[in-house]
Amino acid sequence: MLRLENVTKKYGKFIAVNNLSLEIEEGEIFGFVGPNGAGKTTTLKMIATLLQPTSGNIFIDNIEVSQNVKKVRGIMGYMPDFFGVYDDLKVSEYLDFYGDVAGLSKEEKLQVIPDLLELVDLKNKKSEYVDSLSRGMKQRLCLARSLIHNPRLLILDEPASGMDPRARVQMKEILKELRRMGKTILISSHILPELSELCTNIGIIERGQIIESGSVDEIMRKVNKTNNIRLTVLDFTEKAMKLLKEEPVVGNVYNDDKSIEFNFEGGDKEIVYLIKKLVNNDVPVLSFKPIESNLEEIFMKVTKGDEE
Amino acid sequence: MINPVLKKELKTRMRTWKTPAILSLYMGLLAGLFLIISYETFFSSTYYSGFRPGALRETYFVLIIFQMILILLIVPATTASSISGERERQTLDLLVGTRLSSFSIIIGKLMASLAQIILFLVVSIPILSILFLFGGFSFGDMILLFVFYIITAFFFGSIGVFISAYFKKTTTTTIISYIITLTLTLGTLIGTIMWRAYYLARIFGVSTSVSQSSRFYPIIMYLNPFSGLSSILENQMGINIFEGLIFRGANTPTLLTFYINSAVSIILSFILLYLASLKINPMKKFGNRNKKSKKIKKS
Ligand SMILES: Nc1ncnc2c1ncn2[C@@H]1O[C@H](COP(=O)(O)OP(=O)(O)OP(=O)(O)O)[C@@H](O)[C@H]1O
Ligand SMILES: [Mg+2]
Repeated sequence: MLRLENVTKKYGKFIAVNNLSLEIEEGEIFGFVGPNGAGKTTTLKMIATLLQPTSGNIFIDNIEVSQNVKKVRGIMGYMPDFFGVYDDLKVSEYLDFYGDVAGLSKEEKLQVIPDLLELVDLKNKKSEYVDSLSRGMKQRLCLARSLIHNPRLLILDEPASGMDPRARVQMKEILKELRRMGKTILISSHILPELSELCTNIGIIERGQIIESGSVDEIMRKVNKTNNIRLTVLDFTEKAMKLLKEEPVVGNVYNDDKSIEFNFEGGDKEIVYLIKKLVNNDVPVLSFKPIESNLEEIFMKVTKGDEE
Repeated sequence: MINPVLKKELKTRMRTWKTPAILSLYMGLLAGLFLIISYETFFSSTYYSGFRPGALRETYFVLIIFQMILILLIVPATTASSISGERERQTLDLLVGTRLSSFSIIIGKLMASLAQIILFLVVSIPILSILFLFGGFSFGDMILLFVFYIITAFFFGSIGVFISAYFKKTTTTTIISYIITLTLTLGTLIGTIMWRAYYLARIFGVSTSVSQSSRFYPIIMYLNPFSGLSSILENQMGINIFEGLIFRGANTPTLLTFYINSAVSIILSFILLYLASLKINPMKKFGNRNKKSKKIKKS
């Protein structure tokens, strides 16, 4: 569906996207995650035919985008991170305009626009001026706009940015609906939990390069291999730390009063062994618990690791 | 199918109070001007207090030039914001990323501005018709005049859209558009006068006869819409406002300057519109990308 081959974008000497390759299959929901300035927007703009790569190729449906821009624009819908609206238009007129621009006939517009308004829950706002909409509503309207020509691929650049929690939930529901409709979606964000529920795949980008990518589970497992474990003891904290440090599967060990946190690389067998060792050495173990590693933490870990 | 950009612009412009207000104001202005001049026409002469068709011709003359000046004032203002305004509102990406071609976007913007001018012209028809009727001009004269107005609006509108595509801020584009408009009108005139002074000074030693000096041929005047307008006026009234500034052979038609002026305007307009559409097209063929890949190949 979408394939990037060694795509590089330079702004002068600054490399915003560095030799990035990526493939997204039909029906996938790909979460594109990275800190500010990582190159997410730049990459998405290149896919949306709004920016030309300095080098490399982008294929949508096996069409090199610069070879048939018009066709590609028909397959793909794009929602930018920052955008404006024509505030002198009413909601339905706004969609009507982009329907015209997409080359829809009057009949097609009459069919599509009510459906879209329904989808983004703006039906009761259709005769109001765009100007009067809240930020979240404008974002939903812009999402409806990107869907006007029924694209199979959606490129969404932080569609929930600047929304309050309720509006985020609403946006997520809409995106789930789009997933059910079988759309392929590439969605960027720097807020991970938002994506973990929605996406099938995740790519983590930093400084213009993908540093991790795979299915949500895969990435979880990769990072879980080096787990954090929290150990609570009644006493003998120093002794417990010394015992842990002797083991090769244990990384950094920190202590915080009665609780000890340490990096751990290994499986269940090693965990049993560690507990046994501690107990055999008369350390009063109160609890021994892996720290839940959600995507946010993975993200912090992965990106932190790169900084060091 | 009607250009979607034009359709939208017309819809939003027509329903604000501004457009009818400005049009009414303009109509009032024309009517006022007409009344003042008619008063002059009938009552001001100390020798003859009655109808003087000649004065109607004067009125016509003034109105035509007034309308041209108005076009030159309105068109740069409305077109200068056409693209830069979209950029400032952050709606340009949403427009150029669609299946609508860049050229259609540019043309739609220009047409919206022209539509406004056409409205102004239509509003002026009743008053101009009276002048035509009693001033002894033909219907064709009026058509010719309107065609030239539209060509001029097209040319200056293309300049405005071009500037709007190439510069970011609307304040900048507006200032530049007006500077260019001034340069092409007053500037070319001043340039021509200076050029002519220099020309005359050079040939002064040889001969100062009129035939010599009138062979002077200032090309830059063909960029000035007033040269075409003067050519139309001369054709209709026998008055050449640029007498001696533009050389025309004895046997060439009076309207030649009008033809050349129009042709130059139209050709330049299309070049400017094409360049503007290239500028807003993110996937243009001669973009940075090709330049860079060529450089890489060379090195
Ligand atoms: N037009 C431009 N000219 C120069 N540098 C740019 C331009 N656009 C982006 N950059 C730089 O490219 C880098 C990547 O920017 P980009 O907007 O793609 O990041 P992002 O991942 O979308 O960040 P954010 O999370 O803040 O939206 C940044 O360092 C930015 O400063
Ligand atoms: Mg961004």
